Amino acid sequence: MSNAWMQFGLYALVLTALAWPLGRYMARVFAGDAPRFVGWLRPLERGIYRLGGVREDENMGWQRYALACLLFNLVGLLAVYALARLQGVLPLNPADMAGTTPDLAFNTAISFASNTNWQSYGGETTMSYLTQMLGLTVQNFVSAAVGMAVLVALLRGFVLREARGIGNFWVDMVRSVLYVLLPLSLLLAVTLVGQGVVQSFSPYHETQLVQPVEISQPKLDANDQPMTDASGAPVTEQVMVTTQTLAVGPAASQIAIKQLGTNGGGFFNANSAHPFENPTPLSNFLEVLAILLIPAALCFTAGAMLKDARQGRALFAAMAVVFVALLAVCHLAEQAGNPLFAKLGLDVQASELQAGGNMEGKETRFGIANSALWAVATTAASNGSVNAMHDSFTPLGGLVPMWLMQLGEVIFGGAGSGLYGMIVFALMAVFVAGLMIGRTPEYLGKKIEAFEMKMVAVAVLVPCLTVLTGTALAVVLDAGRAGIANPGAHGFSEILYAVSSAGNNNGSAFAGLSANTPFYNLLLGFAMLLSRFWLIVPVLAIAGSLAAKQRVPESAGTLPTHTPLFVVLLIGTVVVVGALSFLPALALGPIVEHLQMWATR
Amino acid sequence: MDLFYLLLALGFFALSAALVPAFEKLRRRQ
Repeated sequence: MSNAWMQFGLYALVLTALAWPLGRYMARVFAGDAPRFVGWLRPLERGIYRLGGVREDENMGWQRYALACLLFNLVGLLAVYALARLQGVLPLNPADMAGTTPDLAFNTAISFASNTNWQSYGGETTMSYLTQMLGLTVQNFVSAAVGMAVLVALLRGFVLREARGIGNFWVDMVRSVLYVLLPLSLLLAVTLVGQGVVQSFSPYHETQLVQPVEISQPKLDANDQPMTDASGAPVTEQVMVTTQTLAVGPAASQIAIKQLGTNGGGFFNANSAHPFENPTPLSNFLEVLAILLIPAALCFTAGAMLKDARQGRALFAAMAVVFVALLAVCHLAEQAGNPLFAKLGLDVQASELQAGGNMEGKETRFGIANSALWAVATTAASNGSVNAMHDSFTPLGGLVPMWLMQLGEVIFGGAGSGLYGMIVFALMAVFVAGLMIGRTPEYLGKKIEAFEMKMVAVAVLVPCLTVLTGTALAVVLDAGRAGIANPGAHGFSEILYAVSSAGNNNGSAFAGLSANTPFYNLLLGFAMLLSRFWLIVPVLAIAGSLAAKQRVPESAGTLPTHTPLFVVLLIGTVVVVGALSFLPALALGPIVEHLQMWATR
Repeated sequence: MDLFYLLLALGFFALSAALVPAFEKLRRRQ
């Protein structure tokens, strides 16, 4: 147990130590004052602007900024759709993958363009190398950059006075990719290759098994349909398996950005539980570190851009407190395991020989501590990659990642999107505080008035409405219920998790739900679109509105927003909104499962 | 089917783009 807490402590220490300098570095990059050691990238940056016809000095109003953002994402979405549909006739397809179905292409294109990376497919059995690289990996970079650009525009809204523009979308995006995401990804990808993550264009390998295995499989007729006997029972045959296909591919380059860009879409179906994606304890540590690195660093970027480091630290502290508390709950629940096992005489105590607790669905290589840490990090951030199967977590252990997503992905959250989401909650917190003391709320020197609060309401309500309405639709319609693998409370949890994941742009799957159907591809596709773009538009509207305002001088009546009191108020706002919105739904899923498990002990 | 899904995507982005001037109108009214 103490070993686990030491690992968590090390993680927190390294994360904070790296996030602070990275945050300061990013602030300089976004101000157009990149440090000298990356000065050699400047000609490349200028070249990109020349190639794209971008005027670097153009200052966009919020409307133009938002429209550029929407247009860029639409084009990216269409490109991924076309690649997925046409991959069968395109190069770099050694496994001869056919084009995907239209509904899967629609879902996947939205998923990667919206930084969600929900996957209704298994990577190694569905996507060609070209689709993975040119479609999915490119979107991993640019969707993260879009989130960072929107955040930077919002921060400028607080800094600027009576300004019409909030920056240049194309410039902010190019700088995010060129100076932040590309160098970090290159560094991480090379390190991961050193740890054994595959990076290859060669076709899948066929290898001889050391120990052949005999399996029973359905016997097929001439039309490849499963045969049945006179009583309707399936006919099976015994088959000796002597070979195994080992899927490879350009994985390391995708995994690096999938973690750093809070994307999460695995190259392989098992995601980071796959030994070719995550082979060693060190690769596991680096990958889980990469999940939170940029979202955490952006808090310090905010402090630097606002010229008040205390504000960035307060936002970081609010996120860290919730993260640590929920990590403790998840870890303790998983370590406690299933009480029914004791009745069967199983030893679930942690010892030097075993992790103990609930090891179902977990890699023995990573154990309970690293599986819980990953599950909490990946759902706190809008990452969504997994190194253990969340469907097999204990009810409380599974509730934690689900609730973290439902909080709106603001506990570190996505690259950029996490912090702009948290700032939206901060605006709500100062509004509530303003109501209590009877003053017009202010945040970071700007008056928060009716328009900003209307936009805050839109940004907070859209994901809640999307998740709850989507879940309700899925459980009342036959097409939705058909995907459930485990009927009852757990089946409800599977649906709630899937829609929460898509409706908050996370992308992790509880598993156990057959989601590659036209119904789910459409439902989850729209959930991802709504929660991404109907948040970006109101957030940019807030940025434009704030930029146009005069700064309000600090007075005795100003609520300080860098103090522990404000951190508590902010956490309270996030938790109350999350609890009020989702507690009834959680009560029907993981909470009832938890009670069932302990009642039958 | 391709046309159906493409129209859905285009429709969503057109609707999202329409939000932009609508929100700006709301802002100016403040």
